[in-house]
Amino acid sequence: MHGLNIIVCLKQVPDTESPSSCYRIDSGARRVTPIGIPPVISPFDENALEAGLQLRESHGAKLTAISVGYRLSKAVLMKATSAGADELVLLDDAAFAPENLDGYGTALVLAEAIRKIGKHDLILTGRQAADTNAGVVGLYLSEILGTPAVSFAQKISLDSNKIIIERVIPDGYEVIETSMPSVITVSSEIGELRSLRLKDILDAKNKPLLKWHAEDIQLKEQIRKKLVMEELFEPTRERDCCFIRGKSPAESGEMLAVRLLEDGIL
Amino acid sequence: MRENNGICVIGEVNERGMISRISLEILGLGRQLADDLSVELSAIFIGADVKKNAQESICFGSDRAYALEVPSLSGYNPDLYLRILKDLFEDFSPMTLLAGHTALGQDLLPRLAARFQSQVTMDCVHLALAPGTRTLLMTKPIFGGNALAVFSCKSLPQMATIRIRVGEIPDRIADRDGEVIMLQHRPNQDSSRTSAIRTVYESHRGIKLEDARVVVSGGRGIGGSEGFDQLRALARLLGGTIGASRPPCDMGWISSSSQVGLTGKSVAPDLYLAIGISGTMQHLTGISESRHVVAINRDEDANIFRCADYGVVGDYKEILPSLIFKLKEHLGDSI
Repeated sequence: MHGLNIIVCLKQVPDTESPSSCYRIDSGARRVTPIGIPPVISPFDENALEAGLQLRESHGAKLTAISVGYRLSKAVLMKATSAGADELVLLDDAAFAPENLDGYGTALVLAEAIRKIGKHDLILTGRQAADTNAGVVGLYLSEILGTPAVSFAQKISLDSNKIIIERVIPDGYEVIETSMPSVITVSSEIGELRSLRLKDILDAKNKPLLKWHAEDIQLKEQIRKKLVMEELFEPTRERDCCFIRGKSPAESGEMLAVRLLEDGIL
Repeated sequence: MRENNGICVIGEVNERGMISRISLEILGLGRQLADDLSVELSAIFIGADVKKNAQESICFGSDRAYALEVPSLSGYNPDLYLRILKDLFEDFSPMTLLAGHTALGQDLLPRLAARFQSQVTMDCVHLALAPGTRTLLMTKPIFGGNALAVFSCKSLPQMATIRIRVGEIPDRIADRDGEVIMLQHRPNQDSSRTSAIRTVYESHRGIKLEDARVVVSGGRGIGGSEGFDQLRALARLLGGTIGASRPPCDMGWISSSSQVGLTGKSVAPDLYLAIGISGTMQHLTGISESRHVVAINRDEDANIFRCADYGVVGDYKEILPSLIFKLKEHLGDSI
């Protein structure tokens, strides 16, 4: 196999592993504002990047990382080139801000950017983004490009022109075979993104970084936002915790048992 | 075109060949919406032997049920489903299309939405109609469950995948009126760009997480795979099953098929025991439909206690033995 082209789609999100207090939920403006949380690459997209890097190591490939958004952080997304991607394409435009772009719109922009990049054999995305928690863009993208798609990959291997994917299902996995080019959405089981080496971080500064705006891609259709956020609120899920305190942990355990039985829960 | 304003449910069948619980719950939700709008509720079943499921769905609320039997079909195949549904929706186009937020729903609905040039809202925890309109309001967690957002879709069909236990299983009415329509399987629906070579089931004895009445879950605080043995003993005693937050799965202490949370499975047991789990939003979102939550954690300030009904502060290794002992004493062999 020679000259494989792999494209990995990355979304910049606020770090959702942060505590709830870091999110200001503005119901009026229908906006979640992260406070003091640095942006990161969405964790499942990092898994997708790792999958791409592994394939590049075993088969040789050019790996292009691509991201769509507004006011994207070069520092955050250059993690992709530092980890080993060959080039980074940033589609940065006010028209690509979340309030202007829903999942389908994002997929349309990605599709045109991918057509502009040219040859591609594999397109990888995370199974879902950490902010919208939807998991639609990869599958929309495959429909727009007219390629096959396999979701929730925990392992990807290549055999001549075939792609063999282990797809996570609730009680195990399916082994799926498909052809190139394909879109594959990647699950966390594939493994975390490798740690960065200082040398690679320095090398990344010499790798191509392309910045495209809306006018740099030929959108075939005008993007109309169809999914509209009507309301936003904070979840009310606090319960009144009854603490059970024995004189010793063992006593607490017994007291818990008695309480659960008395209250008819068991 | 038969109709253009109905509600349609994509039905799924469980391993016993019955309509799956989540599909019954969604038939209930769909029935309510259909009644509010005075429109028809339809259901679609695709599989080797699904005529009986279509018939049964009428007892649970559908007015019309489509069945397409593909004798050789052993599971879900995206291209086949897309072609069948596209052919079907040339004859009638529903205003609203609902499916479970399952392995099938998560894969199929985005593809279907793209084919209709519409969009889907995933993992909904609530559905309602905007007052005086036919607009579906779809509520779903975003930002890892730190916020809930209500979406509407400006294109048709309006589409949503629904989380387990959001709806209730409707009462079965044996003599409910409805029509079953058998669809013809056309060979041109067969060509598929992906093929399933085999399915590997991980040894999963006992009850599925999604169906469990009791879930005993462990987190980072369990400390290693051995610790989960104690949790398994408790789960067995209570007739429940074992779960985990994300760290133990990432660290390989337990299979990732046991992961509970936004990126794992959503559960809704009568009793959820969270042991050594700190309580990140993404985990809490996955357990929010649980009836009772018990938390055991060494850290009194752990977020999990804010979402628990009962809490014990301490080391689970010292608490569980006496909890198990006392429960055994009372429950004996009764469970």
